[in-house]
Amino acid sequence: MTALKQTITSVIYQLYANALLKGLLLALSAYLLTATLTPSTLIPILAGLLGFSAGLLVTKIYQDKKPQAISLIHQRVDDAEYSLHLLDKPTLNIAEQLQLERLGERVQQVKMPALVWSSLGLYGVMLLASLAVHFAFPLLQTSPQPPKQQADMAVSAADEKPAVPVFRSATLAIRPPAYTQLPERRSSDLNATALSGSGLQWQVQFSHSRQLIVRLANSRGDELPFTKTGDRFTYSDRLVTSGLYAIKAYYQDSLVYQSDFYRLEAQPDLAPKIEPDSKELYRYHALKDPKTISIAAHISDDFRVSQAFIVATLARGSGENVKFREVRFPVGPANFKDARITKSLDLKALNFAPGDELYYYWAAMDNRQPEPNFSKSDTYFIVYRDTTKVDEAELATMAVNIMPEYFRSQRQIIIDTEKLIAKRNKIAQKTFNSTSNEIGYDQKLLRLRYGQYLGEEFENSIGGHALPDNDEGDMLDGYMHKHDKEGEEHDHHAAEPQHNHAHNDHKAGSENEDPLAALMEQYVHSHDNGEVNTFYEQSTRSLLKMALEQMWQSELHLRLYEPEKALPFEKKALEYLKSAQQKARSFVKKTGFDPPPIKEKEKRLTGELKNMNPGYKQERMYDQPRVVQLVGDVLGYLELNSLNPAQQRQVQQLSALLTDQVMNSRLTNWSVLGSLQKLASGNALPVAEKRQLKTKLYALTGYSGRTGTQSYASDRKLERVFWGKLK
Amino acid sequence: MIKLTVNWSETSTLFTLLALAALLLMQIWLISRNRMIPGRRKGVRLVLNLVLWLLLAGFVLQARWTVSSGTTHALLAGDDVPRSYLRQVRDSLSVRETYTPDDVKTGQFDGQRFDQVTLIGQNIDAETLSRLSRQQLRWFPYYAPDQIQDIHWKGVVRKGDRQRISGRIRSSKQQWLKVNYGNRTLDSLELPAGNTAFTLQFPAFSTGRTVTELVLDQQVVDTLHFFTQRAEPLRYQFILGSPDFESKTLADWLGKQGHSVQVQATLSKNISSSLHINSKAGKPDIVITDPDHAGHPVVKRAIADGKSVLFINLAEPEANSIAINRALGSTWKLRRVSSEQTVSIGNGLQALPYTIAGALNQVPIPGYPAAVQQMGGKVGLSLVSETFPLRLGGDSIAYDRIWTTILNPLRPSQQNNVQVEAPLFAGLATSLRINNPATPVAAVRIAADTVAVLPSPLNERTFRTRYRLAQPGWHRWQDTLEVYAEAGNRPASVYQPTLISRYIAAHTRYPVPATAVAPWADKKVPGWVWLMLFLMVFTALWVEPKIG
Repeated sequence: MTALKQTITSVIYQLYANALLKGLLLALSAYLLTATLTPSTLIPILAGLLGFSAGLLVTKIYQDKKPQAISLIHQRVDDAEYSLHLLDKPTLNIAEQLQLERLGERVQQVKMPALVWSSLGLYGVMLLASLAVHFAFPLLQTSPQPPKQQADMAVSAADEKPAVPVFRSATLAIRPPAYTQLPERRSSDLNATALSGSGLQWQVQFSHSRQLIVRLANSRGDELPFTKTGDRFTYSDRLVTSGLYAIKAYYQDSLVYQSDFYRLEAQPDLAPKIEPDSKELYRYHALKDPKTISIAAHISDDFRVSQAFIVATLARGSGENVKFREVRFPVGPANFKDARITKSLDLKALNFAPGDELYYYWAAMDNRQPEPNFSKSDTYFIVYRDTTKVDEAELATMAVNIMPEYFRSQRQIIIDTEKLIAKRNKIAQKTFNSTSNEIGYDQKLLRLRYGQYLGEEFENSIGGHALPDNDEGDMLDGYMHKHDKEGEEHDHHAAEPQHNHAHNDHKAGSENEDPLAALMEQYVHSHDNGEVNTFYEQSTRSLLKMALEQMWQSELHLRLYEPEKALPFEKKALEYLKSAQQKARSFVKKTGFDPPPIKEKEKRLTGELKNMNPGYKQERMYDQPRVVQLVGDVLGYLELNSLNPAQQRQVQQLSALLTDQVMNSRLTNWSVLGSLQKLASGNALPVAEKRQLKTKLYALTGYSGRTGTQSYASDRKLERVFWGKLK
Repeated sequence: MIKLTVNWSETSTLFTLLALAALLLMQIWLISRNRMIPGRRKGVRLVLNLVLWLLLAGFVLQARWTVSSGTTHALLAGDDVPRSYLRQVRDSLSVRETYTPDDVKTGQFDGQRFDQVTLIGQNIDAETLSRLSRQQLRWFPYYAPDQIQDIHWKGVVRKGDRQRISGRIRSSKQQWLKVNYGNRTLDSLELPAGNTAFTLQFPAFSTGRTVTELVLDQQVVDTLHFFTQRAEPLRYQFILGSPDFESKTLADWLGKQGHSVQVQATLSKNISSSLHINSKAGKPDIVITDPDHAGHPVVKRAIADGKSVLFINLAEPEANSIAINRALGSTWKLRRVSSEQTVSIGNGLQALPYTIAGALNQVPIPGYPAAVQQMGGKVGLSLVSETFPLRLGGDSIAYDRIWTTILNPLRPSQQNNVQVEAPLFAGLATSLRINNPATPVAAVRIAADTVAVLPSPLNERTFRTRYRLAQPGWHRWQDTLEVYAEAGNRPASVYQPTLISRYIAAHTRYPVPATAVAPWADKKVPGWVWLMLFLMVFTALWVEPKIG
């Protein structure tokens, strides 16, 4: 009985398992088929579920499987005689019980077939078919769009399908020199402004780095390679000078990336700055001044001042015997940035004595490495005045300070006199007189001056002055020469020397001299006689003397307020002076080689022309692109929507040419280069940038003002006639 | 005679009339059936309702009648014209009737009534103008203050040649008018208040398309497009007695400018030296020489061929100028201005102490003691003594400026000069001229067309044609040139006047035979009268029950 029931239950379970198995197979088939056809994952799962539920529907798993199981047992067990329904009966009669027992025995004898695997063949075939489709489909298909997984695999596996690397990022690390104690900077802005000597490190990253070469290019086209570290490229260098650079990347020998031009600006580490308090460079020290001098200075540096000191030099002695002694005083604290330093110089300790000079200057060094910057202040002088000595220079100045005596020329005196005569009626008598007197005085000065040349030392001995024969005569007589006597006296003065020194003893007039005296005169060396001791030869001297005579006369008349009368004498005096000057000149005939005259017509252009090239010819070509020309062209390209490669090349050329100019102009115009670089790489410029570029480039065109012509041709004959008649 | 403006053929009209009739019947029926009011008031109300109905019928039918009008002259004013100006014109012309372009388009303007129309202002569109084909037209333009009028410039200019912008303006105040490129001012002019004609000029400096801006008192008033033709390099020849540093430096500079230079110096009998830079075959365009070589055959031939000669390095200016005059037939006259050896002309430059007494056929070169005399060719005379120190001193910009300024006016007329007067407007025909073509031309290619050209009757070296560019923007001309066509809507102060004047010119050229005009005018009740009447009747209808 129980065995029977167990059998039935087992069959039922087997039926359920079979149904489930069928559902699963269907689900798997559906999943595989759809997964083959669609790349998504959701759709195959949905399809699988659908297949599963379809399988359940087909096998009717939701139904009670007992009747089916009973009918199956009826079929399998030969003499079950369709009596298994008896099991459902609540009360059984004996026959029925017997039948059931019999059945139980029979069932135990009969081996029930494994129903789980029954009729799975069709589903198995379906699964196999879908598997076959799943694996065969990609092989059959020459689809342009392979499944995603496979594409990824292809990329990662080999270079069958080359992908051009794309620029991802670039950073620049600036490491200032250690002594500056400035922090290291790292930024993606590739324009660098840093202290000269800073370490620079570029890191560039591309989408991949296989077969990729990255280089740093300067504006002249020189290139430096980056080193590859992992998937990045790095380049390190030290900043020395300013310049422009760009980063270029080559992939399989072709340029795949070029950055804009960036600028590198090297800022120098400045030398320490010294500002002494005292502006006075030169000062004197007197005996009673204090013996310590307090000096101060403000010293600063952009980083640190490593040391500051004063160098003092003491100079002692004079002339060739000067000794120097140099002393160096360290001042202030070491390693400061900014300080005001005071120092008192003890002159006593320096042994500063009268007549000595002390020079000193401030000096400072900063902490720059490897070589520190050094700077020093102006040199200050302290001079200890030696009051015991008189400076030669002072004497010289004294001499120079004396004003030279002022006197007028004879010509000037004539001019003044004429002027005075002309003004006679216009000015007061008193003024007239005083002016006349003044001119007379000038005349006197001039006379004295010329008298000196003649060796006359005293006023009274100068020129035509002869004392009257006797003292009781008219005193004025000596001053008042009679006109009629003039010539006579001239002759007399010119002919014979006088003895003016001894005029008290001798008679002045030569006519009255006794013969003895005249005789003596030839033997006596009269050294005090100016007449003899001049350098002039006789005739010149006599001429000068005659001139002095005339001056006397003119002075006389001037002092008597009679300029009209004085004028002829003045003129005469000038005449004599001039002729004396002429006489004093000597002429020497030159000697030397006197070449024979050249016969020009015969000689001209007849030189030997052996090594001469008669038809000198030279050919030159300037084929370098000119900035002016390129600027004009590029200005035209600014209005185009896009540039062709030739035009881009021209822009590039201009950019290269301008780079040097920009470098020389200390990078003020580097925005022009940036804009040109953009243009050259085929990018459109924003309006403001274009305007800026136009403005800057226009300055380079070489045109200005309102000039310019119009090119127009007309009939030449008509034109010539027109312009010819237009007069 | 009263006319009705009702279109009887339309069914809607019939329905409207039927509705009117029904309304009348309903009004009468409603009043007559009302028992509440006494008979006398019923009569009053009936009358009022009848009046309302008549009014309504009259409004719907829009009765018109003709009256005799004394005038056949009307004004047509664009909407840009201010009222005061319009009144002024109306008073001075004693024309009563004024219309707007909208009136013409909506049919309010009766074309049959007027045989003379005076247009005022420029905001009158082509459609309006085309409706005035029968009338005799006159036009008074109206320009607002500070509006650019009648502006012209060269559409195509050769590099280095003068670009000239001329026009007129009614300036509201004293202000500056500038032509700018980028942020650079190329030329400027101070305008006084009032009507002024202006001319701005500058040498063309770029190659290709160039866009400059006209700026009035820091306000961009117009954008000028022109095309700059590439300047062909010239052939220079130096003829010298002995090579000197000035001419050597100049030759070198010219060579670096891309020109072809030949320096020929006769040092002695049978001995000469020659230097060729960028040598190119052909006769020289400009000969540079000293006065001793004024009679040189090359110099004389250059003048005869219409080329140019420049004399530099004058030793004795007076004698030299006489020698030049004798050799070439020029009329130079020099006047000594200083007893010094040289006079300074600024920028570290020295010049001979003479001035050139001008003549009508001599053009002085601004800024330098130099001038150019027009003859068959051009003869230039420069009194600048030495310029090479500038170049040696590194002031290449100043050197460039001096020689560009002096040599530019000496450039002989070149080939293939294109003359296009800008602004060109898309849709309007423009005259295009080619002067001195390299080979005689029969046709030119513009945009996608080939256009036949005709020789000018005045100058056999000039060929001309008329062409209408269809689209605004840049258009290709032959292979290397381009012309710019302005869009019709911009700049309005220039386009509209051009359009109207063209229309009027065409109108007077092809007159429509005059027909007799009936001096009658249609009148109808104006809208405001209708409104008043309706208001009055409705008020009466509202008030009547209240009065009882």
